[in-house]
Amino acid sequence: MFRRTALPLALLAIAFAAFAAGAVCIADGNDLGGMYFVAVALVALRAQYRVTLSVSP
Amino acid sequence: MSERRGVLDRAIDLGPAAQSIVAGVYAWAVTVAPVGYGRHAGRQNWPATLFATLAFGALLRGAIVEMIAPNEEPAVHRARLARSRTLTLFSFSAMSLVTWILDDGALSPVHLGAARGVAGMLGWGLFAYACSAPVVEPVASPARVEAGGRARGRVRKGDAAFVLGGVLLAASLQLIGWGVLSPERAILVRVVTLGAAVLLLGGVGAFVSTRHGADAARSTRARVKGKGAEGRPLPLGWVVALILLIAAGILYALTN
Repeated sequence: MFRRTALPLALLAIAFAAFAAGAVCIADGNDLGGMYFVAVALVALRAQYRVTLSVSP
Repeated sequence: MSERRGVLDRAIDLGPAAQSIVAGVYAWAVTVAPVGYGRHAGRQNWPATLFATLAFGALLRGAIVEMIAPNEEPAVHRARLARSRTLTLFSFSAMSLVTWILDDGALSPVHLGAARGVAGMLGWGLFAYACSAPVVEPVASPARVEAGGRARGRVRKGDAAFVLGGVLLAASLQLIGWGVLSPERAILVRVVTLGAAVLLLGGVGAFVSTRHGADAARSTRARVKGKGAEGRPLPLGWVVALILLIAAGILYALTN
């Protein structure tokens, strides 16, 4: 259950939160923070993709 | 029933072949006819009128050749049509060009409004596209009957909730950044949020499709290995990279 559902969903939640933080940073003019959070979101999405594939039955 | 076919029937039979003719008439009406037939500076420019008429005649000649019923071998007829279309393209363009050269004042912004200029560009673009794209002729072959599509899987309970949650998250990203004053930054925020929404929906889609074992979503390497889900180790490389990245961010925030 954890491997199949909770971990991918947690990574998706991290990606969403990082995207939202990155967008807010860019809107406020903080380009460095925006790039950092977008990078975190992309890595989280990649991790979620690999984990999702690995736990597929 | 009469064997003689009317002009209207033949015009309807032109089908795709008439695309370039119609686009050409539109371009001519918007950009060439006003130059050739309009009175500029209180006088009629008769040479321009003559060449504008010749340009329309070039289109008319092409349409007539398309309408003439073939009484020769199909290959010969196709070659004759191809030659005629090339001649129509070059003669119409050349006559239009000469018309514009003979009355260049008619193309000045005083006489040519912005709306007509855009319409003219659209017309000539359509004409160029219709001439360059191959004409799709109707193929007189029997219709091919194929079996309907087959579903690769069934939507199971709970999938809709995950998809709905992903859509809501993606939509909520679009609420950010509407108060930005600088247009360039506002566009950048929209690009980022739209891209993020697409990526999030892709992640949710991959999660839902592999949740019940859709084999198509698995990588080739995973299928070749053929191990069960419980026997495969978790690919923790990206997870570790994520943890390190977050830790680096926290460290940077604390030290600055």
